[in-house]
Amino acid sequence: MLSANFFDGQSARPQPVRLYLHHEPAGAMLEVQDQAGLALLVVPFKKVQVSEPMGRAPRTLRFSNGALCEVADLAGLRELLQATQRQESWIVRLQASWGATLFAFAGVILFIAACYYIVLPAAAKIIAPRLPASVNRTLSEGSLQSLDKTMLHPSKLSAERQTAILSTIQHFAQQNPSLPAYRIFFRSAPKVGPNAFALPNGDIVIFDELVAIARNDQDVLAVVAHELGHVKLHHGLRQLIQGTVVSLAVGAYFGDFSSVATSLSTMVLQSNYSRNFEREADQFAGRLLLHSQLGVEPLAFMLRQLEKEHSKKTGKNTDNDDRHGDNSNSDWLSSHPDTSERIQRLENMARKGLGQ
Amino acid sequence: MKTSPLAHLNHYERLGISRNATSEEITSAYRERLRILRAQITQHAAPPPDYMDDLREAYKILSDPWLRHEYDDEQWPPPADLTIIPPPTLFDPIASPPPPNSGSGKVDNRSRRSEYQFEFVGNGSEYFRIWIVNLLLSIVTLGVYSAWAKVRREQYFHRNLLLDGKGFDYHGTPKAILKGRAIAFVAFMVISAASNILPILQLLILPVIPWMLVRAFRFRAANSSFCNLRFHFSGEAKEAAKVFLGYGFLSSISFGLLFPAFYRQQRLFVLNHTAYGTAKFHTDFSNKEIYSIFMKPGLIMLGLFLGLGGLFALYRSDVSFLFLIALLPVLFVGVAFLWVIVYGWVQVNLFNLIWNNTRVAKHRFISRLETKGYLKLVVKNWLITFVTLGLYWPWAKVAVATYRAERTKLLVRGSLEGIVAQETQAIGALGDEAADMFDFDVAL
Repeated sequence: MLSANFFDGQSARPQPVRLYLHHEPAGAMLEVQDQAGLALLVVPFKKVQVSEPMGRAPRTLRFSNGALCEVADLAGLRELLQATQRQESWIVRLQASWGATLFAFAGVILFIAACYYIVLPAAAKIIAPRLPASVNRTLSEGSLQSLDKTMLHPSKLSAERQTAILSTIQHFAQQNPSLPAYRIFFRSAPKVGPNAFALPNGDIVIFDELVAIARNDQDVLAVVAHELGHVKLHHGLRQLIQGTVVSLAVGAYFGDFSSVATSLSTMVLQSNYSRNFEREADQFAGRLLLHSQLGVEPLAFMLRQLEKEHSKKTGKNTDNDDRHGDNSNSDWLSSHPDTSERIQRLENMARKGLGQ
Repeated sequence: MKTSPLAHLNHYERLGISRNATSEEITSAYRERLRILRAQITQHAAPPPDYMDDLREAYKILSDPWLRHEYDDEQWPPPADLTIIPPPTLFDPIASPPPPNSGSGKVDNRSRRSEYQFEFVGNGSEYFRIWIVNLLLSIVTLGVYSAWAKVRREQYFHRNLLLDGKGFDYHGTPKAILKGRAIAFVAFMVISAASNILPILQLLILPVIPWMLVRAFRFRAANSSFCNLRFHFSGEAKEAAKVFLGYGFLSSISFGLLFPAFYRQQRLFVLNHTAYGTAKFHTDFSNKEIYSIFMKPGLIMLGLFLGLGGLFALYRSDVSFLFLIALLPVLFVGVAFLWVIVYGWVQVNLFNLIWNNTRVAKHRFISRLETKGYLKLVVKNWLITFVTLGLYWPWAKVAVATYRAERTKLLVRGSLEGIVAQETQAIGALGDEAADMFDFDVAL
């Protein structure tokens, strides 16, 4: 016997009832009796739809005519189900078990990690070069113009110096036919400090401040080689593809919860991709520099200089000689890898003779 | 002898408050009146003695939710269509004597009133298990299973919500949801393909939005039930267009100044077209009330952004740009924290305002969310969810549902038993899924 509330589906009126199970030769029959002991319904139990258990929530026994019984006595209902040999579905049993939950949890983590570290970068690497060149053009168009209006100023470098740098780069390009098409622009940006950047269409912007910290044109060339690596390896598009997928996925996961969590975790996840692209570009530049007998030293020197300038700018007190020093700038948030790590990699390349 | 100047006023006017005043506002208004009265007495300018009686009477009635409810209904009778139509001959397989608690002729229905308490009996770890198992299955099946996962999620939050010990239920089926998704996806592709060819075709989406929203509200309502009786949504696409396109447009061109009015129209549209069986929902609150909720946080945020902007303008000249960049994460977290608090504050006040002004037939909702308690809960949820990379989320959702339920009541006059079913018709999930896809807020 099991107490329940009977709802006929026509009104909100609850009717207290008792449920009885009768074992007939044809199968179990369920009888719904009202308070006076009169039968409201007698139905074959296998036709009764039983709702999934959900914690302390009442469960319902639904009949084919739209009426239902709401049962709050969950233990009693469990006994009744056992008596009819009715099993909960496998999914309900999975949900009830912590073992299965942990297994599912591990599976989800594994899947996400595989997507993030392997599938997505691989897919972007395949897709990016196959997109029409117009995509790169659209991405780059207007960027330089709008930067010119805001942060960038005309270069103050002499025409001779510009020509000298350009011809060094040109000479280098002739030696390395694998380089992508490029255009060089000189600009000044005292507020940003020494830097250079590449747009996906091969436009490379060199700041006067970068030229100022270089010892010679080879040093500038080393940085340009790195930027050309970004262009050649389609880093712009790949970052766009990977970044979009990541932000969509994070948005779907956190969407209900908070936009701040979404944008913060998107930032962290995307910066890992960006660091990998820096490493790839370093490797690309290193290989070409070794090939042209320039060695990795110019690039290593420039990386060191850039870091020095950067810490000066942020007012951080870094010891110049302490190259492997504690660069505690949270690595997981920054878009570039640690400088000493990058130099180490370059020197390893030189030792192994990857340029050959 | 002079008569009290309050004699011809209603109780709200006597205390100088609006009809939708909260109980805190009533108490503080009463206290303020007493303070003034005391001041007048010390200055020998005391009003006639029944002035005090009128005040006391007003406070006595308005501070008791039940007496206030009764008083409101006497002063402003509910519209005729809110009174319940007596049920037609009920489907009753076998005649049975009425249960002891149902209305019988002798009891005066007006005097029978009860407080039905909402209650959420779900628990975090249980929902976590459901969530994670269904997430894995959705991944393994490349997203197909997510329709089942959605049904389970909805059922979890419906069935664990009890009113007077009886559960709500959700009846959407995975098949209907999948079908809706497929159609919405195709429609979306067609529109975006068309707008690629001819950008003006993007406008095609406009007439689709209200239609889709109405379908979504209908699907949600028709698939929610309480006591085996379904909810029902009767809004039309034409009205939805007025609210969501018209007010939505005004809100966006006014830089959000009209957003509160837009929000109010949305809630009125949804709630006033919702019915539980034959019992219609009715809600009303003024623009003034909704603006007073949005005003405070709006000014705080505005002040903050102006302040930050000023800070940047000031410092940009002498301190290095990069230093400010390094400072950004700190500012970011600070603003995020403030945002969580402001958002929670707005939520609490909106929830109270809307539900305290809503009734279903003659039965009135009472919502007593407390700002402090709710903010504590929200901040805690937010922090732990962040630290655990989102794993705490199921617990957070359950905690919020529990908090809301335990502070919400339904004041029932007579009983809910007279509410009967409306004629039903099958409703596809198209709108619901399309709305999900285009990221509309269709929450009640």
